[in-house]
Amino acid sequence: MASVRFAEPPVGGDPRHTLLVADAVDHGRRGTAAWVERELAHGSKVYYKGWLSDGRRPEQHWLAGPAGPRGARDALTSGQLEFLDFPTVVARTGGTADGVIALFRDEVERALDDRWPTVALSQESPRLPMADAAQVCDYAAWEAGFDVLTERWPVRVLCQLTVPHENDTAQWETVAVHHRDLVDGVWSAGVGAGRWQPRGDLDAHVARRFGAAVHGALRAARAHEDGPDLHLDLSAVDFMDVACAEILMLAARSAPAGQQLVLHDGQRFLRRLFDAVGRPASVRESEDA
Amino acid sequence: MTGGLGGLVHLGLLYDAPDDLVASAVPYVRRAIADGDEVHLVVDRRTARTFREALGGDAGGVVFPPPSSMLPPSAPGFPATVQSWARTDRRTTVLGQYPATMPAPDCGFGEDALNLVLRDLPLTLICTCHRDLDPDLLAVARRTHPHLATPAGRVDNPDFRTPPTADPVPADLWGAVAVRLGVDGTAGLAEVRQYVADVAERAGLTGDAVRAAVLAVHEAAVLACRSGDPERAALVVEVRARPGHTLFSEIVGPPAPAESLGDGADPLAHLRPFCAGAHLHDGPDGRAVRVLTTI
Repeated sequence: MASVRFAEPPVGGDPRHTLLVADAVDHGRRGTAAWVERELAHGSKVYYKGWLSDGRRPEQHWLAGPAGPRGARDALTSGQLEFLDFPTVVARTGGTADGVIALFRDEVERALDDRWPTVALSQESPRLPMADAAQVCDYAAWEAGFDVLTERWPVRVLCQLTVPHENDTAQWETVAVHHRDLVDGVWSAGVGAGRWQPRGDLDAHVARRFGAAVHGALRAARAHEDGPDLHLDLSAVDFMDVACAEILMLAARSAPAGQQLVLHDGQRFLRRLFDAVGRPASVRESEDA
Repeated sequence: MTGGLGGLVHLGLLYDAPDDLVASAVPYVRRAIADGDEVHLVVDRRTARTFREALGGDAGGVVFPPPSSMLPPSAPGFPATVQSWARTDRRTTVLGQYPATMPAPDCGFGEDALNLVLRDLPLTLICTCHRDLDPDLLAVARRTHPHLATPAGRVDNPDFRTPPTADPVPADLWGAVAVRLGVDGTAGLAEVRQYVADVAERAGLTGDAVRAAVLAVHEAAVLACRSGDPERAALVVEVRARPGHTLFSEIVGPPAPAESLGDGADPLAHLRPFCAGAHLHDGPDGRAVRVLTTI
């Protein structure tokens, strides 16, 4: 009997800033509930930002209901889990990147002052309009603020992207910004040893989001001190279809002059696929091949 | 699906002697040369000599490969060989002779494969069969060719039988059904890939051949999804295996909108490098994409 392996959001371990992508609301809730449950079990202080219907209290949020993580209701009572709804976040921060980062930093410092060993932050899909470049920049700035938190303190961040709730621009930018650490059904991505590593199955269903992640990785490589080439570790790719191979080759072809895509490891078959869709000169094999 | 080049023309030619064969075939060969086709006449030396004499100066536009260079229809790799003859810029005409020692059931399998999954390729195939050959082989030649080439020209073949593509499919054509499943949209294709990989390995494929088979079926399913809403299109995927011979997959999806049909581009071009044959059929009841992998 064949079974499909879905990637799961990471739990425990080093500080990290992860994006959990879900095609449907219930899929996202399952992954988030598992993550929050494990963080609570690990003894982390958990701050959760989410959407509440008008007039509802945090105890009425799905997180405290039967679909939520075990122990969430008790954790809300004990203070191990703190819930804040988005309108309150906006009211407290003015909706600016600086304000949002300051709020999260204060929460982390407060938790560490209270001697919690680790801090876990998760926020539901924010439903930002991202209607212009300024809003996109603001969003990128506050996500960069999460990176700073995870670099300085024992903090793990799980950002949630619920696809039905976000417009195309928001989906694209969210995935691009999180290309270093994301989980999206049958594929995921990470960074190790200076190489960007997509993992799992890359197919037509996730092709657009894979394209966004490639775009984000190429953009980040150009700004990196070891750039501008993007080193791509293919060793964990189990399957790639023509749509994703074309996206990868097109991204490399349209990269600025001087930026190359350097392929490391992975199946020989992937090279055959790249050749079939057309491999541009800006894609080369690593010297360790 | 080859733009303006047209699809497969699959002719049977039954003959009693080389002169008879050549007389029936020469009009087709001359027309193919005049149309700019690549022409291969894969015949024994005596027949080749007769062809050269009949064609005169036109013989310069024809290639005469030795019969030993071509796989017969009974060989497992025959569909892939036929696939390799197709060109994107011109038609190819190939005439070949049935070997006397060819097993009739395997020959029938190879010929049916052409009719089912290679009929959109820009090829004219003229399969010649001596009337003195094994009666079973002669029967296969009569059953598997939609048209016959005769000295009077091309005629419909009343003995032709379309190979069945839907249940009940004879197990000796594509093998027993190894997997049949329904999926909704591209989100379900990971499950399809897992099943195809399992069946392909059990049928005898290994390594990159498994990956190619999986990729070809996946791309066929994506194509079937795109005739409807890719996120929701209901697909039925059926995979049949003849261990050691073939893996045949048929994916049926919703009917394609009329405006999306016939734009001239080959919608299967991207998956052809990864299989022995592929065929797309758009009908009022749905879109069927068929993929053949040889083992």
